[in-house]
Amino acid sequence: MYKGGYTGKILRINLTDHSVKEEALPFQTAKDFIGGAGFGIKYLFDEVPANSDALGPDNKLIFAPGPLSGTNVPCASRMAVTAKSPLTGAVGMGLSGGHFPVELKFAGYDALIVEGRSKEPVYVWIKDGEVKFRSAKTLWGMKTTDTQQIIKNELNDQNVRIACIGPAGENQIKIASIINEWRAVGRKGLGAVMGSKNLKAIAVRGGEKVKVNDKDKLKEARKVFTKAMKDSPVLYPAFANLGTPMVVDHLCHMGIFPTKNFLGTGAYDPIEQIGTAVQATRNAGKEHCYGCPVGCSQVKLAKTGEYAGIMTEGPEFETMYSFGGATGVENIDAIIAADRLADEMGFDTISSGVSIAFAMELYEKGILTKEDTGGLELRFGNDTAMMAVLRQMSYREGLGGLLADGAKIAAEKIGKGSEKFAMHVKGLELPAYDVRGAKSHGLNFATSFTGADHCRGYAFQEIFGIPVPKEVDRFTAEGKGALTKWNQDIRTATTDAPTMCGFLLDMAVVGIATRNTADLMEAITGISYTPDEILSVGERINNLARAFNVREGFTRADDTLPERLMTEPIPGGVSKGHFISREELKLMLDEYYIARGWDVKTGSPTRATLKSLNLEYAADVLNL
Amino acid sequence: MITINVRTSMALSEILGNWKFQVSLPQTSTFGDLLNQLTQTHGDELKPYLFETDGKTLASHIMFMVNGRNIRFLNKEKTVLQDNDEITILLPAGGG
Repeated sequence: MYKGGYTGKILRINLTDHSVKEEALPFQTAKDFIGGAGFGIKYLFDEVPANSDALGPDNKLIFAPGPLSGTNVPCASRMAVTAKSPLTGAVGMGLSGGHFPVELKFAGYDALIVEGRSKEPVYVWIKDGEVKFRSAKTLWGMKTTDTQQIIKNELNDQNVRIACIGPAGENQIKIASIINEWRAVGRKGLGAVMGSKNLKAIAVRGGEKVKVNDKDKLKEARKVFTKAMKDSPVLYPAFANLGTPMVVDHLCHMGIFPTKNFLGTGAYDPIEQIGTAVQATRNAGKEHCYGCPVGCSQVKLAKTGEYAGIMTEGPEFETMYSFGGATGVENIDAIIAADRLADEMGFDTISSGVSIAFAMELYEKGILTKEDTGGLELRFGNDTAMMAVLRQMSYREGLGGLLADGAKIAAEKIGKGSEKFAMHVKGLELPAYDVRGAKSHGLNFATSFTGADHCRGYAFQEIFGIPVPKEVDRFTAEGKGALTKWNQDIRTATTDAPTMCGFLLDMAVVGIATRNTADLMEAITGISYTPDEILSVGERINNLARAFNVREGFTRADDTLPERLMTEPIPGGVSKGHFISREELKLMLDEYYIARGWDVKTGSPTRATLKSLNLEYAADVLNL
Repeated sequence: MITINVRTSMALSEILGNWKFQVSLPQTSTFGDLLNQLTQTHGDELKPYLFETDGKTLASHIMFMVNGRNIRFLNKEKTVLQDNDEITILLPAGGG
């Protein structure tokens, strides 16, 4: 039925009764949703009942690579993992690279849907269409590197690819991640969902090649793609040599690198403490995802004090912010150690760092005392205190236990006016951009279907000055509604669904992305799209994801920003004085809903819009 | 004379000798005047980064900012500089 790209099979694993089912991938699902994030949202909306407990057996975990994964298209070993988020109650979706995504394709599947809950800890072993449930009792409690190595030894195959959880996921902390190799599906607590199912790991091995519909057409489309990569002004050599942490310098220069829980942005500017010059002194190699010629992932080695000798893949830019800028920690070796600890225990570096930064501000303000911190002097910049709290988090011990479910839930427990210092949207902690100086980026945080998520509708026009589809002034609010919609849709359509590394979009191919994705899809799968139809796939996915959130009770009122960003101007640097006032946010939201064809009052998709996207059934579900 | 604070990144900071420095310019100098002064000192090395191949048009992938605002939303090269203005010239970056 499928000429290429797709295996045509969905693997459904039920952990309650340890049953396994293979299903055919419906053609209309492939055509309308492409794969990856598209399949994740489609199966989530269709199969997870309204108001399900995110940590209960009704929630489902959907692992979905895309039709480009496993072909010779570079940088396409990506997968979306989707479930209802226990952290936000909204869509929980994260993407990850590495080798696991293509291995799932080689094993024969376009998606893996995990259902139910096992009575005992298990791991699942998938090899070329055969599925086995194996006891994970002896693995329970293990860190992620040990877990992966022991499973490889047990299966007597060092090339098995594994996605697993650490103690944080087992203990269902709501900021737990899923780790594959040293890559992470980091955010929204998907590791806790896996832990709630008593699923320690998924091990995959496959030998099936991904078919290609038309090799000559693929050669042509691939040539266009790789030329854009070579012509990129940043991919080689800068990004290949420096990786994402190069953005620390960039954002400091722009005055929007958030520091000290967004109290210090611009005024306290740690470029000399944790910027690229210092990062270079800790280089210990680099890693590549499958089929990636760039290899942006930098391996770092800590060199001083108690952290000396600790190695990690990373820290990525976001982690330099969360364990560095946000907490005010200037010791790069502590940041390296914190990154490794988070990966080993299996929790999100952004949410954990930002939650600790929140607690640091409370301590500085006297809302938390030494009695609350177990004697820790939890001030900004204290790396020893940061590490101590991080160690507590995975096991819900001490102050770490209070912060283990993120800043929003911690604030609700602490009270005393602490809510206004918790930097989150919909419960998801803010990533590394002080959006008071980048307003489309801010609107994306407010409206993204996963909460404050830079991976949804990244405003590269504002952050990197890329003039596609047009140049924009980062300080203004006008016109940002339509731009944000476009950013969300193009990223979903050309990177998160097919699947493709998101970095290539802004650094190399954005000018040709919809055309090239259409060409690649036709060459690989034989399914034809116009560039506009590719963009519509992104719109469709964003609408169905929004419909899921509306069904869960989210409204326009949830599309907001932390109070600090709307009332306190950036205190220093070149973005000093800027903020997103409530009036500006209202203006941008109105523009955004109008651009989306949604109800401006409620923020809900309308029946007409859903119908135009072949989603009328979702309108029925929502009783629109 | 006015004093301008300049910040820049990566290869540009190597060519210019530092990632932040000050420049003195006559009153009513423009952003273009600043670039002229910089290229007079560091010409052959600096020019290919700042300009397109015609040697005149500002490179489209470089961010040129005055007090954080892209000069494309000010008066471009004709933007008049004030004493203590913060100039940021950034090579393309990516990731995050």
